Amino acid sequence: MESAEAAPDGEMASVAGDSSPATASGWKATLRAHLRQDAAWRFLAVLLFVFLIKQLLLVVIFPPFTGHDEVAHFTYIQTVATEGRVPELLVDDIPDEFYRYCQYILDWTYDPCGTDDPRWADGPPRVFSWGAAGNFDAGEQYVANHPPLYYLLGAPLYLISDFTSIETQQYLIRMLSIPFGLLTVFLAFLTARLVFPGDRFIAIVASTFVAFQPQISYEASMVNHDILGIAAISLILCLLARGMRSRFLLWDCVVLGLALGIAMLIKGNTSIVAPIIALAMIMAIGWRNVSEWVCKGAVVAGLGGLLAAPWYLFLWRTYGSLDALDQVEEMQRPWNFPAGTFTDQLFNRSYVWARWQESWGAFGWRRIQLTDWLLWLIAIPVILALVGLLLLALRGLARRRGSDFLSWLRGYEPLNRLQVQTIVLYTVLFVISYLAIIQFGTRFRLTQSRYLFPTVNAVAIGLALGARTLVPPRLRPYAQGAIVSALILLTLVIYTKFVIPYWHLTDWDLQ
Amino acid sequence: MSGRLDDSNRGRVVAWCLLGLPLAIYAIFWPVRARLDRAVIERHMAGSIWKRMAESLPGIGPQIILEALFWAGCVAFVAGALWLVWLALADAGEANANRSDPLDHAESDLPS
Repeated sequence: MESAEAAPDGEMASVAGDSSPATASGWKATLRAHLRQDAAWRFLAVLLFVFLIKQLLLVVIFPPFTGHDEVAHFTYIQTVATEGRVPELLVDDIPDEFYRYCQYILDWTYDPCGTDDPRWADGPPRVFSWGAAGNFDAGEQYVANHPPLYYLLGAPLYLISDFTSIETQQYLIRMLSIPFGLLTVFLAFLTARLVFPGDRFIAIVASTFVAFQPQISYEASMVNHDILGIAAISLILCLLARGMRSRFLLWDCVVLGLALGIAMLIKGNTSIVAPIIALAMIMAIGWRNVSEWVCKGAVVAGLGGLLAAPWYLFLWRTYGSLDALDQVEEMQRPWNFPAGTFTDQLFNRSYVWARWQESWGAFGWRRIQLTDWLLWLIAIPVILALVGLLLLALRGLARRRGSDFLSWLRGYEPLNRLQVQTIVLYTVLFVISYLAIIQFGTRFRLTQSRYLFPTVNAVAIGLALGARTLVPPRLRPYAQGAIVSALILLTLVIYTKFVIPYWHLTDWDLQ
Repeated sequence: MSGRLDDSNRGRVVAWCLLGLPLAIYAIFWPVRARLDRAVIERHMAGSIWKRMAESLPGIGPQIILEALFWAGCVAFVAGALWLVWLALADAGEANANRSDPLDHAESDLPS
């Protein structure tokens, strides 16, 4: 791939006329001008509205506490709100009143787990026998190794609703996730516009993909810190796109450092973005300018580290490590085993298919699985988009050498240096994240593809670029309409054929 | 959006009919089918969404209000989704009218 004729910076003129974006009124005027003049921004406004309505519906469609580890996350918030401290692994238990949801709690599932079982008249079981392995504690708080920021945000909502039932509080705290879902969609659009200025197709397709990706939507409607982590990584990707344009001015580095620190206070695995920041700086500044990227990198790392340091010091003092995974492993000892060796997982077709299933389905504590035909129906356009990306790279390389190879590719448009660097960066981020879940699987059986979700904006922009390459410019408006339609239809099919019938029409054969 | 069926939006109308209409039909079809079998609905009302909400949100209001809110949300979602498809196809109208690459008149972005 080669450099384009014009650098994208030249396209960054404001459409707001004389309105200066430096002030609040300037930004408002700029936003109004965008909405008035640019169809893509009008599309974004409607997309955010539809996303908001969808998320409010999802909050009530999923029965209480059926999301990923919702009880454990909720009780973490409860501890923060009522006791003013973070819970500890192997110390804190999940309160008795949550036993009626034990089928959605790791290591507390007992068959039957009904609270009316006479055996539990004096309280739910707190020790399980695992046969020869011995007796193990049950009903423990198992997400206490996570950083506290999400739980601090949830605590005020818990306190103002303390007079109601835990289910009502849970519905309210689920809604806390929606703004972070909205932010993720907005950042997908903004990042696409920063990297591909003026290209409506990529902005519309990427933001719609994120808004209707079913697992991202699911995460943005439950009590869980995942969506906050996804939004934080999305913000960092957007700041990287901005920083790479200006070769990372000092102010960009300061903001990036703060964002990195905040991300690390949300979820430990967000630190995976740190090498991506370093790579982006080296690519944008130039690897020969060692002193410049080392200094700027130090600003980012220093600020990020400073902000996150109190939490990681607490982890070190409490658990003797920066991740507390030894304690997590100890809690899961009766049933945990490695998902496989690194190479087993890397080349195992079932493992890859399981990750694909989790990326689109596995709702409600993995009870609701999508059918293979639907998963393949989703896979085909994704594979096509990846082929588009590959063809884009091959055509770019061929063009650089003056070859006519793939010259029939009418959707091909040369990328500029910044765009090439960004796509390389996103590819590296995705590969590192995927390898990280494999690495996690060498120790834990419960490795999951949701650890990949923070890369969703990078994936969405990459797929949109691949799709663009396959579609000639004249047909792109129709293609973007078809893609938007297909993603909405996918949501409707998933909820009307799988999720709602499972939870609310159990005996009704709608499928 | 002028709403007139001239050259500028004929392409969009045709495309919308092809893409948006199936979406609308599917969205309407499912709840209508549910309504057709009232007995099935009644039998499973105990597990329905609004019933569950009413149980877990004591004192918020009668069940019918929750049900109405839920369906209002569904209608808003479908209406918004169709609007979204219409806007996504906005460029199709322009491309059809101008017989030009829509990227040729792509607009600028937020200032960095």
